[in-house]
Amino acid sequence: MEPGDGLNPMATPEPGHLRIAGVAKRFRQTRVLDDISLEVARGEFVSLLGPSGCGKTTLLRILAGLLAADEGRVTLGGRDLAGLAPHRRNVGVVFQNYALFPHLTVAENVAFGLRARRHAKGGIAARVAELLALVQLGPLAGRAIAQLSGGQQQRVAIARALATSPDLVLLDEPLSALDRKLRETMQVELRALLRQLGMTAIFVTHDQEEALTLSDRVAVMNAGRIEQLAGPQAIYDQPASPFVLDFVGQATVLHGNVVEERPASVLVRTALGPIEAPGHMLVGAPAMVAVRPERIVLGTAPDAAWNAVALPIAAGSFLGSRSLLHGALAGPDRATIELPAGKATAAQPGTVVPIAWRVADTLLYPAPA
Amino acid sequence: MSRFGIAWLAAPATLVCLGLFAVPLGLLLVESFHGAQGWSLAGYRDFLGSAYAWGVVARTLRLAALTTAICLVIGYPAAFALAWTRGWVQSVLVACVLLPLSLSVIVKAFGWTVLLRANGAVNLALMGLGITSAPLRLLFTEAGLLIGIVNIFLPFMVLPIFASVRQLDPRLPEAAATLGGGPLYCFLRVVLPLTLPGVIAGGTLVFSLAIAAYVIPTLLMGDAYQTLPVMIATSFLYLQDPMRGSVAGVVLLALSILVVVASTWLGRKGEAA
Repeated sequence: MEPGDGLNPMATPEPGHLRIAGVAKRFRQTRVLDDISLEVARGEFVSLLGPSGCGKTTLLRILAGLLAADEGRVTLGGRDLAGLAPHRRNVGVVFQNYALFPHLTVAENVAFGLRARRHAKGGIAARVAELLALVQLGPLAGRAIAQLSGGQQQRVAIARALATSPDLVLLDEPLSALDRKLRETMQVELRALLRQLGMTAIFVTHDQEEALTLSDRVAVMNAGRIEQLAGPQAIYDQPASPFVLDFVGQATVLHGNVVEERPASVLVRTALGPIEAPGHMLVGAPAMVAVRPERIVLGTAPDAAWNAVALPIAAGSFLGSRSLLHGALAGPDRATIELPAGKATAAQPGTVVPIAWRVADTLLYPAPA
Repeated sequence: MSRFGIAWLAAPATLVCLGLFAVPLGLLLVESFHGAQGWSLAGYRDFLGSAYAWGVVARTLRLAALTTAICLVIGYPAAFALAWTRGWVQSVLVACVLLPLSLSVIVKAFGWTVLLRANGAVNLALMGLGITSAPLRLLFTEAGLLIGIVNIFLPFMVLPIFASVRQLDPRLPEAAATLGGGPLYCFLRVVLPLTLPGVIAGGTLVFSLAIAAYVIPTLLMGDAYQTLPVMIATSFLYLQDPMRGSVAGVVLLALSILVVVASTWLGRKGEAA
């Protein structure tokens, strides 16, 4: 496969390809977006991850020009997008449920943007063939949209959005309508395709696994704000807030008060005993400590660099290659341990097992009010 | 159950259509060929050889075409308003379209004779707004007739278009815009083709209704304005010439069938494209 000249296969590193600065949007009295700032490099793949109603789709529509921001500035490739109509932006959009034109064939859908921009006829045919080959739909060029499966429609939508070589492609939960197996295949395909084309992409999703798998960086959004913007590993390992911790992955969470301040850590008294966590907080402050499930081992602490407690087990769930154990805790506290499947048999529901994890793996937050 | 089994459900409707529609139609057809002198083509010869009759046909088609065109221009945007507004605004608009349908055509046509008079509401409004200084002659003019007939037939244009706009995914024009299509391009390539079935259905309905309108032209224009339906009535009631009336009836029927066939063909073609 030989990408055409418009495809820009070499991603030149350019830090501020897309600049979003202080964007805010209000619907009636509700602030849907509150001071959103984000820079995306050329060729980068950034996910907007958050629950429904967090403002991620609103931000996407503002970038596409389908909605006007109340405040803030958006520039793309140095060009200010303020007041620019969607058809003058050169921003491709893959809509949720695709929004393909039902009265046009597969090839005509892909050609739509090229025709709208009055490209030469011969060039359009070649470009459409190239794109359809890229998404492996060449033989279906003459089909009607209604004759395609969901996965095929998804590919047409992607080919259509990429045909005009946009400066930025926006994807609005494009995989959510597909079943799990197909979704995973499409994730890999989509990522490879966008990387091959050096396409700058913003991907909206509420599926944290999808965001972590696909993205160079993830912006976790909550209530109109970006709670954390970081690489997938950092989002998972160092969640910036209890919201990110809770929304991305699972965790054991214990509440308590700081009882001792040490040079680089604090000691928090919890229902399971004192827990040491790296960080600084005043003695007496209400705190929350957390640890990811796979960081926990069964057994006692090998040395002082570990936290160790005794956890009453409430239930276990078998997930094939691994098992999850859930602790029997009261109030806002909860505990989840992930173990290789064979090791979980020792911890039956109703028993109390010793568990341990590194102090360095412990996360510390001020307790949410 | 055989494939004819389900067709029996249409038996009562078929009987009603046969009795009330096909039989009188057959009689009409017979009468157009059978006069006082027995079987002959005289009726058709007279009709087709008469410049006056051709004038009536032309006037009928003109009235129907103008009515359809004006209804389309007014009704097409109205259908979008109806489909894309929300809440009580939409309820009010729907009521505006549907309620007039529950009024008899005769009542509405009489209403328009009152409104269009020299001292009627239309002229008072035009003068009050300073658009004219003296009352316009509206009643017994084609302009007045068009105002009335468009008003009465407009719902039949709006409702089918409304139905097709309702099925139009609002993200399709958005998708077209993000692909680089300007507003006009989006309209011509996406919105219009996808609402064309509604336009064809509405156009066919209004044209068929307007071509056969009798009460509205007679009340707003009088017998002097001869369209095919008025001609039929005049032939039977005043001239006592059933053959002339029957021939005009058959011509009107042929025109209506032509319109329905043409629009069905257009619709199929639109679907295939």
